[in-house]
Amino acid sequence: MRAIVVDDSKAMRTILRRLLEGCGYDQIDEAANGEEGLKVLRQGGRPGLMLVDWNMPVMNGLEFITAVREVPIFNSTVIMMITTETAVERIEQAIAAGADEYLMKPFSREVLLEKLEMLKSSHS
Amino acid sequence: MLLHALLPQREKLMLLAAIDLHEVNESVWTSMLGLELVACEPAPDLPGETYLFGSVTISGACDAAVMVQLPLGMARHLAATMFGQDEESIGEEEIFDALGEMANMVGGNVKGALPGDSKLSLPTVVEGRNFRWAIPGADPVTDLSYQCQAWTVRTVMFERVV
Repeated sequence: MRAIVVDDSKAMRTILRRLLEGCGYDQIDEAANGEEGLKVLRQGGRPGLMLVDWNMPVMNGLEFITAVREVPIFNSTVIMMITTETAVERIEQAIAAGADEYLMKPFSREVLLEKLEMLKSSHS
Repeated sequence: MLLHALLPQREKLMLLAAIDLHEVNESVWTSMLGLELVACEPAPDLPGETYLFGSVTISGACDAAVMVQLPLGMARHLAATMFGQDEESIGEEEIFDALGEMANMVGGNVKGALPGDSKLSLPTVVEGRNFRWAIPGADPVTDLSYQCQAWTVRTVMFERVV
């Protein structure tokens, strides 16, 4: 299973990578901002899951998700936003841009795994 | 935002004071990373010790900043925990990145508790010895000290009076 983690913090990318590996993801790409994430996708990456931070330099997570959803081949890709943005308006904005799920930092391993499981069953 | 705009300046100052920084710290340090924090009395910085400061600023509903201060040993331990590596293999880049993300998470949760729309800056991390720092025009609203294993951790929320 393939996934991409887009977050400007290397530490956060590492935490998420470890959790995804524990869930059976064996091909995990990383990007430090939205622009890098799009570059990975242009190079042929076609992940089934994207974990995306909101506040990043160069291109933020909202812009990244909007760009990704404009490409038809990523219509079925599951996108979860993982961010410190907690306001309801922000969540609505992310969902409107194309995010399937929203998780607030800090999160526990259990909550992330539960959300991933839910997304998996709703998209299978 | 509208409600906040109608509040007199003095009440604006109280916005940050109502936020439970301890609860935010516990959810970031303990629930997410499994690092136990024990509240303690503030201790003066040790002379000659290297400290790191991670901070983010909040602008919008109020002008504020959140700062996390750690001695180098604690910062290395934090980074090792976040990266899942031995402390010996942790370099400066990982230490700065980990502390920046901690400041981002603590600051993000403080921002989330504020009314109205606010923006969070990207984190800044500074390392040094025997230096003074200040946020001109801003006052510390909450200043908490903790013991985490052998080290001290300090988190401070500042708010600027406009």
